[in-house]
Amino acid sequence: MRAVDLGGADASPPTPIGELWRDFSRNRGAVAGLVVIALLVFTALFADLIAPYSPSEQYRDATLHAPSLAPVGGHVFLLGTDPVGRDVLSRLIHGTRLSFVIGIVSVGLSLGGGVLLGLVAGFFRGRIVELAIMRTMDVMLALPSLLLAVAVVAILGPGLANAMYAIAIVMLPHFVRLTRGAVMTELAKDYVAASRVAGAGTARLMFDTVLPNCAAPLIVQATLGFSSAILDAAALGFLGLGAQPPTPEWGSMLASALEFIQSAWWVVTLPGLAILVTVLAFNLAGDGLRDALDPKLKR
Amino acid sequence: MSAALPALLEVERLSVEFGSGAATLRAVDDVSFHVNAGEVVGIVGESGSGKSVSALAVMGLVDEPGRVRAGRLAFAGRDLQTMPAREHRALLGGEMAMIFQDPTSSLNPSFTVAFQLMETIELHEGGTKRARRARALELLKAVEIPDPQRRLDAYPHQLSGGMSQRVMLAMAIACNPRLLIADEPTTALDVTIQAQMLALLKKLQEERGMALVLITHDLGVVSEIADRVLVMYAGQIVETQRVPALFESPRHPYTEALLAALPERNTGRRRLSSLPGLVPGAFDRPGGCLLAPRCPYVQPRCAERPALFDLGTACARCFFPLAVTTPAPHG
Repeated sequence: MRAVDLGGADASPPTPIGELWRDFSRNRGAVAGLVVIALLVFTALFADLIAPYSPSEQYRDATLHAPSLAPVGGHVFLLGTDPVGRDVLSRLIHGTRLSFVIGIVSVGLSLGGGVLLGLVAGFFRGRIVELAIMRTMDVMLALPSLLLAVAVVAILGPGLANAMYAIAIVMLPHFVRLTRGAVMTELAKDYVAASRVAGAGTARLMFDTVLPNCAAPLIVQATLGFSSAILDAAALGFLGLGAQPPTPEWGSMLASALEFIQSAWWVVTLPGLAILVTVLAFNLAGDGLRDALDPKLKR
Repeated sequence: MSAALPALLEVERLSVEFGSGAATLRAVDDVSFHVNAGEVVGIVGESGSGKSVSALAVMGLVDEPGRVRAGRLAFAGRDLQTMPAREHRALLGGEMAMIFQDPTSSLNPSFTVAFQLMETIELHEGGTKRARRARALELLKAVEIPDPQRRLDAYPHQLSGGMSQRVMLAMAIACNPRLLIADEPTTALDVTIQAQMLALLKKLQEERGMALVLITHDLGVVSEIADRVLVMYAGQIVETQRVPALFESPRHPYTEALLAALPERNTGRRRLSSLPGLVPGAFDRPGGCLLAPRCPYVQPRCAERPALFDLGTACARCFFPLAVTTPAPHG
């Protein structure tokens, strides 16, 4: 019965993190996305040091200056200036910080609330609580997301903070449904019954036993949610309901430069590109993460 | 039944129902049994006979929409039905433990073996982290896992089915339970591992003097380690008897049919003996004896519902219990 030590037993199996990285790094797009995200995080963290000028300082002698290396009045505007003479590059760099704050806050709020509601709905199936939670989420899902966000902002009043709350509310049903689905799958497994037999109470079952096993889809959804939060914030900013001027938020930068779309391409194109690159990077990384975390897609 | 001391586990008139109205399914129908301290009781039956659900009901694991009703459900003289939830949870895992059929899903995939063992130990005994880890190692040794030191930090997906089942067993015996319910503990394992697992269960049961309820559809398993057997059919107990006697002379036609279907008893025949038909479901339950449509000895009186008759050495739910025979050559 005793196993013979065959040597070679020292080759320890890869750690979970190592295994995740191995699967993730097979996907080149995902790695590229991760690199871009890392660069963006760096930019966001050190925006004050990287940005050549203050994002709100107006150089009145250089309004709508095209991108060039030539100095204007002693200043170089690498990506040009906007209609009131602010440096587009500095505004974009500071906008990165805002975008990440928006992403983190709205995904954080939505994830926290969604996981809690989803766990409750999954554990108390068939009860009034589940019915109330899930039908409310269904109603929220039935509304177009931007319309819902606009409605929420209309109630709370425009502003960056309120836009983040609105985005968190819009994303909430996705997290709730995802958590509930994962909880239901896990609850059917014997280890949950084993844990109950070992004397675990409901709270322990919810947070210690079941939740860690639902983490994979939630991590993926949170990553993808990050990009949709940035996109929604830009949309709200564009509609004038998000960040208010002079905040250098990418969406509101787009909105304020709309009338110059024909005459000064850089004021519209560059914030748009920034949004595009960020969202694309998060989507690529999110997809890669999903492939790495989903055992069904593993080779 | 005749024990002066209260039995370790007493179950009286236990019923479990699912669904409502016309679609009500009585998964467990008026089941009464007891388990004495240190005794090995086998519960045998086909799929859907209610054996697992009975065990889950005893452990308080039947959830809504299932409904559990019982005249009495007691462990060591303490009523499980009126006990506060906190006390009940302390009893579970402490004095009553259970292991399940599917070893691959019985361990939490997110945590290492050591973490899960130590969690159970912490919940019921406490102690320092170092002491708990030492205890976890000791438990892995007790369940005869090869290379226990290395298995401590393994994740469940790195273990084989047999090893997972041993870890489950280690968790179950972590707090020296007085009753262990094993729900088909060997069904998902290879035949060679099955034999090891049974030997291990028997050894642990004897060493620790714990009572063991072994749920299985394999009479061969029961014959090896059980003291007493309950045979279940369609949610009812149809026969109870002590072990050698049950195999020598079954008193209920269903038990006889189950025994006749064992491959060991069919040597030299071309086809395995089998009982025609299926266990009745929710919508085709006969009015009388539940076995009547499949029973080879069916009589007009079988349109009535038989009670579980006490036949002295055995109990059988049949109006015409089979006669005691001399030991069969294959028995």
